[in-house]
Amino acid sequence: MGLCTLSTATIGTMPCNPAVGGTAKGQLVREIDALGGLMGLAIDATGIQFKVLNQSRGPAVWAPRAQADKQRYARWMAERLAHAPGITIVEGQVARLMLNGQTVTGVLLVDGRTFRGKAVVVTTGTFLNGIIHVGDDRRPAGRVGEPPSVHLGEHLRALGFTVGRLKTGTPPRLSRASIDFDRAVSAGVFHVEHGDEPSVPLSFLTEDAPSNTVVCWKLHSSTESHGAVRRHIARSPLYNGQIQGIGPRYCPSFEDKVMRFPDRDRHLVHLEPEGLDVDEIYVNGMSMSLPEDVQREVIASLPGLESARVLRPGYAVEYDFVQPTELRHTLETRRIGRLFLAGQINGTSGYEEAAGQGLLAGVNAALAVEGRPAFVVGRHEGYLGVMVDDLVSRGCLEPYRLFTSRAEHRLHLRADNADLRLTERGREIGLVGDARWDAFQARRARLTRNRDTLRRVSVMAPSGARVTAEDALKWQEVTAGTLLEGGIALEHAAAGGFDLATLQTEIKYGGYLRRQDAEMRRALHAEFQRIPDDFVYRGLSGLSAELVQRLEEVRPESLGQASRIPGMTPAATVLLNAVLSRKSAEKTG
Amino acid sequence: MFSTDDTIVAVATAAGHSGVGLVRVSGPAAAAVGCGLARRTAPWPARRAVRTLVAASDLTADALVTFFPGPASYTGDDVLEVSAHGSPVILAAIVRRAIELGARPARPGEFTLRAFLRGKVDLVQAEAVRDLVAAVSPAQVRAATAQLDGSLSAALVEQAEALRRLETLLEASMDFPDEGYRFIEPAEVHAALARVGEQMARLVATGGRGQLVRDGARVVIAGVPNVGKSSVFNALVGADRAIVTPIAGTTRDIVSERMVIDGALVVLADTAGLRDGVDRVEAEGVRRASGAVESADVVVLVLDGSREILDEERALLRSLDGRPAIVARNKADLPCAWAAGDGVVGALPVSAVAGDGVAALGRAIARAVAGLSGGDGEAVVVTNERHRVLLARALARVRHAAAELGASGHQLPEEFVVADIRAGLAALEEVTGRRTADTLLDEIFAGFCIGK
Ligand SMILES: Cc1cc2nc3c(=O)[nH]c(=O)nc-3n(C[C@H](O)[C@H](O)[C@H](O)COP(=O)(O)OP(=O)(O)OC[C@H]3O[C@@H](n4cnc5c(N)ncnc54)[C@H](O)[C@@H]3O)c2cc1C
Ligand SMILES: Nc1nc2c(ncn2[C@@H]2O[C@H](COP(=O)(O)OP(=O)(O)O)[C@@H](O)[C@H]2O)c(=O)[nH]1
Ligand SMILES: [Mg+2]
Repeated sequence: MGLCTLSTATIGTMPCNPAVGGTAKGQLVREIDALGGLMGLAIDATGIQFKVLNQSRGPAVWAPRAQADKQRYARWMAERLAHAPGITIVEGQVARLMLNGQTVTGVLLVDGRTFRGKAVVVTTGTFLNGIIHVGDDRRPAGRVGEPPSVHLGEHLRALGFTVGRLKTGTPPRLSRASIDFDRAVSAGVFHVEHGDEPSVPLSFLTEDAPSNTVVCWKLHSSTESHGAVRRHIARSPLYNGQIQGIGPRYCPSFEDKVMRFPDRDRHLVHLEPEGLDVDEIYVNGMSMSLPEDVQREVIASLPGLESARVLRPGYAVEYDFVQPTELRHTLETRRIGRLFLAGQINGTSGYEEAAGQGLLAGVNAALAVEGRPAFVVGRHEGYLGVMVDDLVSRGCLEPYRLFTSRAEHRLHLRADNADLRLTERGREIGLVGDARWDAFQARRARLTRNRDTLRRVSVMAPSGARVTAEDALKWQEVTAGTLLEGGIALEHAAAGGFDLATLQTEIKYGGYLRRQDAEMRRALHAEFQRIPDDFVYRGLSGLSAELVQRLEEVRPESLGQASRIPGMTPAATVLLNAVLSRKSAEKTG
Repeated sequence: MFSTDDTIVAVATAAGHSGVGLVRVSGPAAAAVGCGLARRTAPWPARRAVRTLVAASDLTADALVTFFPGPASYTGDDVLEVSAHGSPVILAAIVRRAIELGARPARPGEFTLRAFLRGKVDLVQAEAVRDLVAAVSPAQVRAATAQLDGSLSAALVEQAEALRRLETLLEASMDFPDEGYRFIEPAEVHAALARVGEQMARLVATGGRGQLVRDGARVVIAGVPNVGKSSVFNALVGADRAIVTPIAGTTRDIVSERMVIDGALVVLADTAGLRDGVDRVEAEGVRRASGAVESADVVVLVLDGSREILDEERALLRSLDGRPAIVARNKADLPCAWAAGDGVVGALPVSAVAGDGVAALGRAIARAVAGLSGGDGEAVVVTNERHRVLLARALARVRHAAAELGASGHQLPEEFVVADIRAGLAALEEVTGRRTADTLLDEIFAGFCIGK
C-alpha cells in the first residue's frame, strides 16, 4: 500500500486546535479505537491535559477530550506509520487519477511518476485549490506555509464531480513567554483550568490513566475587543465579500460572534499550550481572518493579554470539496469505481471526523480489492454511521461536524460502550488484533459478572428494608462507585472507569435504553428495504421535480436513507414505498 | 400498497338512486378520459363546469363536466368530475367507459389517500373525510368538520413546535458546553413542559367526550318490573326511524339499540332483567341491570303513574341524585294514582301504549346528552381513538420529563429529557402523519368507502 503526501514532514500535523475529542468527537475517537484505529492511542501517549466534557449532564453526552502536545502527537503518528508493515510512504503531488473506463487504476504525480493501485483513497483536506486569507492578503495555500494542490482539484471537476467551496479558520498563536499568567490569575482576569484527576484516557487499551502536565486558562473577551472588531469589520475578508466559501455556523469566527450576537458583551476565550516545550499558545474561540494589525489590536485589548506577542496571525482557508452525495456508504464514489474519498474533501471539518472516514474508506477499499462484502456502520451502531449517512444522504451546505444531536439513538451511542458496539464487528473483518480482542472479551465478561453481582447482592435501604444492589443503583444518589465503597465486589479493571460507567448507565437509565432499543428495531425495518441502484424516480407522480432531482443525486440505498433526504416528506416516503413494493411484487409474481 | 401514479375512477356519491350522481376521475389521464367521454378534442377549461353529452356504452347522458388541473385539486392530480343523473345504470356506464379509456377502478379511500400522499391534507384531515361520510349525528359532523378544517391539526402543530423549540435549546446546551452557559435553564424547561402537558391533557380529556360523539351516549331505561320499560323502549325506537345499527346487548338480558334521537347519537338500553326475576335468577338480573345503570351516561327512570310509588322506587330515585337522569311517569293514559304532594316533581308524563309524551321524552334525552358533551367549551374534540391513544402516549412522555425536572433534589440529565421530548414529538407527528408507518395508512384508508 502506498501513502502519498505533499510532505512527509507534515504527517500527523494538527493545523488547528491541538486537541482530540470533545462533544460527539470524543465518542467518535472511542469508536475509531474500538475498530483498531490509532487516534486514541496517539493522544493518550502524547496528551498533556485530559478532561471529560459535559460531566454535569448525563452519560450519553459525556465526552472525553484531550489537549495534545502537537509535535509529539505528529511524531508518534509518523513513527507508527514508518514502522507499519506494508506501507510505502511517497512524497509528491498527485496530479490526476489513472482510469480504465469508469474504474480507477492508479495515480499520476506532477513529476511524472505513476503508481498503480486496485483502489485509491483521496484525502486532500483543505488543499484542493486552497486559498488562505489574512485580511486583504490572500494567497494560494493548503495550510499556512504549504502550497495548495491545483491540478487534482481541476481533474476532479473535469471528471464531472460536483465540487463546491467551503472555508474554515484558525485563531492566532501567542507567545507563552510574553504572557504574565500569574499576574492575570491573581488579578482575577484569567481562571486556571485543570485536567480531570484521575484522568480518563481516550483508548480502551490504555491501562494507566495518562497524566495532566499542563494547565490552561479561561478568560472573557472585553467590550474593547468587540469595539476593535466592529471598527475594522470592513477589512475582514468574511465581511467584504472576498471569501466566497461557506464557513461553519457552529464554529463561528470571532468577527462572526461579535457581529452576529451584538447583545452578548463577552465571549469565552481559552488559552491552550500547544505542547510541553513549545512557546505557542492556542487562543481557542478567536478564529479570525482580520488583517494582522487588527488581530494584534484585538488581542491586546483582551484582559491579561495587553503585552502578549502574536507569533502567527489567525487565517481563514477556502478550499474545494466534493459533494458527498456523490458517495456510497462505503465512501466509494458512484462515478468512478474503486475511488474513495475521505476527510475534509467530503465537506467535513475536524480531525476526528476525518480519521473516522479515513478508517472506513481504507477498510472498504481493502475489502473491495479482496472481493469481500462492504463494511458499513449503521446509524444505530455508531457516530461513524451517523456521520457517513448524513454526508451521503444530505450533502453539505456548510462544513459538517458531528454533534450528539445528530444521532437519533444517542442514548445508545455512548463513549463508554463504543467497544461493545463495534469491536466484535471489527474483529470479524480483521481490524482487531489479538491483544485488543482479549482485553475486550475480558471486559465483556466482567460486565456480565458485575450484572450478576448486582442482582445477587442485597443492600440496606434508608428505610431499613433490604433491596438488591441493582435496585439501589436506580436511586439518584447511589452510583456504582458508592456501591463499590460499600464493599460490593464490582470488578473494574479497565482504566477510565468504563466498566462501572457502562454498568451504572445500563441500570440507572434502563427504561430509556429499552425504549430506545425498541425504536432502533422499528427504524431498522426501513433500512432493510433496499432501493435498486437503477431505480427510476422520474415520472413518479406525487414527487416534485426538485425532489426527483435530489433523489437522483443521492441515489439512496434504502427506504430509510431516502426518508432522511432533505425535502422528503413522510407522504413521499410512503409513495416511494408503495412503488417499491409493487415493483418487487411484479418481479417475484 | 397499490399504484399511485395511474388514473383512477369511481362513483363518488352514495350508492342507490339519487337526484344527481358524481363520477370522479383522478390521475394523469383525467383530461383524456373526459375527452373520450364527451367526444371532445378541445382542452378542458380549468375549474369551469362544461355542459355536454357523455357517451357511455350504448347510453348517452346529459352531464356537467368540471376539470381541476393538478396540483390545485382535491387529490393533487388532474381531476375530472362528471355530474349526471343519479341513476346507477348511467353512473356505472360512465365508469365502465372511463375504464375503457384508461382509468382503473379506485379502491376505498384512494382519492383521499392520494390527497394525503400529495400533501393536500394531513392524516387527521384524511380521517375526517372518512368520519364525515360516516357521520350520523350533528355532533359527529361538527367534530369531523373541525378536524377537516385543520383545527385539531393546528393544535397538534402548536404543541409539536413548543416541544421542538425546547429540544433545540437543550441540544445547543449539550453540544456547546464550551460556551459555558445553558441555552435554557432547567426551571424554564420544566415550566414549558408543564404548559405543553396541560394543553395536551386538555385535548386528551376531550377524548371521553369524543367517545360520546363517536359511539353515542349510553342511555339506560331503568325501573322496577312492569312499569313499562320495554314499552317505552319500543316506543322510542319505533318513534324514531333513524336506527343506525342494532348492536347486541352487553349481556343477553339487556337489549340495546344504537340510534339518533332528536339529533343525539345514543345507545338506548332496556334493562329487561328486572321484570323476569321471580326466582333465583332475579338476583343476577338485578345485578346486571344495576350494572348497566351504573355505567350509563343518562338514566331514564320509568315509574308507573297508575299506582302509588313503591319504597324501592324511592330508593332508586335517591340513588340517581346528582346524575344525568330523566324520570318518566308512564301509563299516563290511565288516571294518575299519585297522591298530591307524594309524586315526583318534574316527571314527564308518557304513555308508551298511546304514544303521548314519547316525543317530549326523546327531546329530554337529547338535551341530557347534549349537556354531557357541551359545557366546558373546548373547541377541538378528539373523537378518533387512534389520536387519543397517541396523544396519551405523547402526554405520558411529556409528563414524565416534567415530573423528573420538577422533582426537588436531583435532575434528570438533559439528554434523557430530550429523549422524552423526542418520543412525545414522534407520537404527535404520528397523529398528523408527519411520521407514519405504511401499514397504518393501509388500515386507515381501508375504512373508507369507494369514491372518497
Ligand atoms: C486553517 C484550518 C482551520 C481549521 N479549523 C478547524 C476547526 O475550526 N474545527 C475543526 O474541527 N477542524 C478544523 N480544521 C480542520 C482539520 O484540521 C481537518 O478537518 C482535518 O485535519 C482534515 O483531515 P484530512 O485528513 O481530511 O486532511 P489534512 O489533514 O488536511 O491532510 C491532507 C493531506 O493531503 C495531502 N495532499 C493534498 N493534496 C495532495 C496531492 N495532490 N497529492 C498528494 N498529497 C496531497 C497533504 O499533504 C496532507 O497530508 C482546520 C484546518 C485548517 C487548515
Ligand atoms: N295502559 C298502559 N299500559 C302500559 C303502558 N306501558 C306499558 N303498559 C303495560 O304494562 C305492562 C308491562 O309492560 P312492560 O313494557 O313489559 O314493562 P317492563 O317490565 O317495565 O318492561 C304490559 O302489560 C304493558 O302493556 C302504558 O303507557 N299504558
Ligand atoms: Mg321489560
